[in-house]
Amino acid sequence: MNFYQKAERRGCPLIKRGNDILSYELFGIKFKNPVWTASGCFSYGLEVSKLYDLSLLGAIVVKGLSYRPRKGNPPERIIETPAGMLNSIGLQNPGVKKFVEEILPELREYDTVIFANVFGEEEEEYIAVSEELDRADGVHGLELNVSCPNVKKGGISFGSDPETLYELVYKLKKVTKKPLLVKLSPNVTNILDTAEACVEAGADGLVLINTLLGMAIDVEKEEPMLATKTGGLSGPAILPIAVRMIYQVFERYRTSVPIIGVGGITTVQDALQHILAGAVAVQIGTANFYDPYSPLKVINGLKKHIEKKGYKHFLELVGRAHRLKIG
Amino acid sequence: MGIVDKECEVVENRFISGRTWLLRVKAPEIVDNIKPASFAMIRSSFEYQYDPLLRRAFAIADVVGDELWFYYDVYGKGTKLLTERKAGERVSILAPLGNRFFPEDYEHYVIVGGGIGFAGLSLFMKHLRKMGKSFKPLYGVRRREQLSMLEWIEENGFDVIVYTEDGSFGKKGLITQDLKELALEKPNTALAVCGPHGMMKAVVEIAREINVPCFVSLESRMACGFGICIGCVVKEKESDNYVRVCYEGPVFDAFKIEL
Ligand SMILES: Cc1cc2nc3c(=O)[nH]c(=O)nc-3n(C[C@H](O)[C@H](O)[C@H](O)COP(=O)(O)OP(=O)(O)OC[C@H]3O[C@@H](n4cnc5c(N)ncnc54)[C@H](O)[C@@H]3O)c2cc1C
Ligand SMILES: Cc1cc2nc3c(=O)[nH]c(=O)nc-3n(C[C@H](O)[C@H](O)[C@H](O)COP(=O)(O)O)c2cc1C
Ligand code: FES
Repeated sequence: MNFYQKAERRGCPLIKRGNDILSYELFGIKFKNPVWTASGCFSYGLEVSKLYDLSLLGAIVVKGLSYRPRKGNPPERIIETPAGMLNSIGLQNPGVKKFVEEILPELREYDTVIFANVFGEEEEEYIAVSEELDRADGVHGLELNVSCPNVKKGGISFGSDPETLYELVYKLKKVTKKPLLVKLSPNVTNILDTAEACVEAGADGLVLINTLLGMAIDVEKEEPMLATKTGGLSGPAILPIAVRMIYQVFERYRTSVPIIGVGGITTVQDALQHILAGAVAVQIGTANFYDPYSPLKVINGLKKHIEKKGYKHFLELVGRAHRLKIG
Repeated sequence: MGIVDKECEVVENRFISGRTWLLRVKAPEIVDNIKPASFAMIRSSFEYQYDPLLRRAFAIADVVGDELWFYYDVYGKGTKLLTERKAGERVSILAPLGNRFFPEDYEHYVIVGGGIGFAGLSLFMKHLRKMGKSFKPLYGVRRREQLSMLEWIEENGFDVIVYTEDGSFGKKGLITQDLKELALEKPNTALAVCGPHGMMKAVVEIAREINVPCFVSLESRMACGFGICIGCVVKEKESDNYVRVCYEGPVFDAFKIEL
């Protein structure tokens, strides 16, 4: 199939308003609100239960899971940059089996939606992880990480080459019946090319954006600061890039493909930019580190904003910067 | 729910000596939960100022009434900005953090604090005294002005052996010079250590040589301080896995990790 052809306008995905101004049903899943926590910025959630009740969240996307456990990269793994940070964690994780057996039973006790972030070094690994997660009780959906710039062999090639991406998503759609979201890499020339590959291959939704590849140099030591030299840039610094890419993708696909916005969100104002550009839900990443209550602040802020503006439901806001309504 | 994120009122924020400042904040919601060696993540910028973006980690050096005391050395952006906070203003504090602390079941302790690392041990000293345990604190720095916790030591009436490398105060030399004898003086002794990396390595070497248990309170670059970024890791020897300093620490059995 030639996915470079302009994508056909597809049917509106199943999205239904809920009773509450923030709640809705999407992918057949009921969401209390549109605020999720982003992968790798919330571990597997349990640490945060010492701060607040995880059931307050719209959804949790857990840290990236591979089939085999991964040790991750040596330190330094994180470097602060102006209004942002670089990370090269190297996808340290206990492997999907251990997650399902030891972590998930505790996590699924919370009344929230769980998305599992999936990663592999090759197609076979993606498939093996997705098979495990498809069987796992308590995992509502999958988010493919095809863009992690940290691991030399992995991620990057899947996320930057539309054909490889198409193949991968097409195969994974056959492996799982659960909603399959693809998290796009911003490290590409044209985000519409990779978005199109995913849509054509049957992705249920797109998540924009992962981190941007960056570097910081220690001027005293005269060498790169991260052990892996380069890392992924996240935080407030990347907000306008995320907003622009969401806007572009929404402009092309309108309401036919749900977009989940992530990148640079700390406040409700930031989240609103994503939503107005076309995101039907937002994820909060780096802000969890410096402002752990930011997801709850955004949830409350959204309620207030919608009431102040006189809307009846959150969905009226989505994509409004394009002067379009959804839902 | 354990960890609290609170805008705390600054009681005092003043220069002490060398490059060290003392920050005292009112934190009635936090003071009851604190274990020795637990730490806080402090925001030096104001809310929604994004540079510096991340909070900074500091040991809770003392708990006095409903106040938390921090002794901090000024280096970069964040700590410089922190010095600008005046009494009466508020500062955002996430605490108490850390899950593993110094074991309390040894009979005698030698406390080894290098530079500002002493602030990671001061609360443990108070705790040991309260438990009626015997301990010998050592405090080592390069020059006299770096002994920023001397005043605290005197006020609290601790008997500390002080070392300066240039001999400007106390004994001249390194904190490690009498360590062997001090550590072997009494049975069932453990070392509790916090300080610069090089010093800690030297102490651990000695502990290994004389086979005395040694516990180190570690520092590393932290983005969150409560276990969710997996950035602050140190390598555990036996499993060959990286573990989080903020969550599986900050105190570790020195023989079980790669320093
Ligand atoms: C658990 C723990 C307890 C600590 N307790 C104390 C204390 O009681 N008193 C004290 O003076 N210092 C303490 N430190 C070190 C203190 O956190 C750093 O000195 C401080 O973060 C430096 O910030 P800056 O803005 O001056 O430096 P910058 O260079 O601007 O910092 C840039 C980034 O690097 C990190 N960083 C820089 N140096 C260090 C370091 N030595 N350790 C960890 N992260 C660093 C910063 O947090 C920041 O994210 C502790 C560190 C940890 C991890
Ligand atoms: C420390 C860290 C670890 C991350 N780990 C993952 C991961 O495992 N999988 C993934 O898809 N994205 C990962 N990300 C990317 C985030 O989920 C998010 O897309 C990105 O940080 C942008 O959002 P933010 O600016 O709100 O942080 C990670 C980001 C950070 C900062
Ligand atoms: S600082 Fe984030 S896990 Fe330790």
